[in-house]
Amino acid sequence: MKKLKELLIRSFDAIITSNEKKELETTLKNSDELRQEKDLLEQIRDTISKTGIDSFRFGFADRVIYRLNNNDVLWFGIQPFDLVAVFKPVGIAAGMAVVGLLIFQFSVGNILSIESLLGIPEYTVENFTYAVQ
Amino acid sequence: MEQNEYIKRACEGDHAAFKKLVNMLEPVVASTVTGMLGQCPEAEDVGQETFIRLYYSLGKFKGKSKLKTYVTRIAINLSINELKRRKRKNILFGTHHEIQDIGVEDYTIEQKEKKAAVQWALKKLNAKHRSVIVLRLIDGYSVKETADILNVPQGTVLSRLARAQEKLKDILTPIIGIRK
Repeated sequence: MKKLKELLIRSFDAIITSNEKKELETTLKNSDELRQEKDLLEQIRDTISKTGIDSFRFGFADRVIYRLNNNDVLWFGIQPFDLVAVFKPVGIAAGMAVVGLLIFQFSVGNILSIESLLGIPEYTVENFTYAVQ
Repeated sequence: MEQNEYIKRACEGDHAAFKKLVNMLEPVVASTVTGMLGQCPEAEDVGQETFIRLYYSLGKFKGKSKLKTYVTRIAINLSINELKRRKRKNILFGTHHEIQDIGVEDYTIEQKEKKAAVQWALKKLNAKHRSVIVLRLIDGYSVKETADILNVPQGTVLSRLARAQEKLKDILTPIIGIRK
């Protein structure tokens, strides 16, 4: 019966095969339980479908336009309150500048290391031993 | 004037044309947002935000889908964000959102009770289940359209619909006079 109840629910929204349809119709004729289940689902779906609200408070469109008028000035086509969008070009420009600097460093032949990039002095074990002595 | 003409004029910054679009699309946005959030002051805020986002993204609208579907996608995403915000607020401050009677003056007491009961039951569903019920049963979109709006396969929509209806059946049967 569980399988048939699942099929019944599916039959409201999906196209079921002719065999499934036949099976469902036969069982519906013979089973009070499945018929009650079908009535119940129909009532629930009907009740839900009638609960939609088709408007906000009176003057909704005017309030939207009022908000648009107050946010009308765009910064390079971006809404001023959209911080992510505002800082995105700045971030991209900064990233490009860093990449440009690195390319320049390589092109002039300087060897870059992680230590020099991080500003850490490049000590070796020999330097350390010499310093201790 | 056709909808496409209003879109074209709105893209050029004509607010009067955009207001016409707002009036045309208000029913679907109101239905989607109140279905997701219930009838509360935040629903109108999300509704307004939906149209502001629509205004700024009209230039990107290529007309591949219907404008109604496009705006519903914005409305459902903003509603899901609002539900997440509420959840965070509930965790931090333990606040609860009560359903208010806004704009249902024309209904009888029985209809009001049924609407309130359905909205209460919808609040018991998680956002994924709630969104398929709202789009399919309240807004009347097809399974394919629902899948397109939510960007999930049709099979996912069908399985979510089945689970959501099972839950709604358990919740609503004892409280709104639906009897086995």
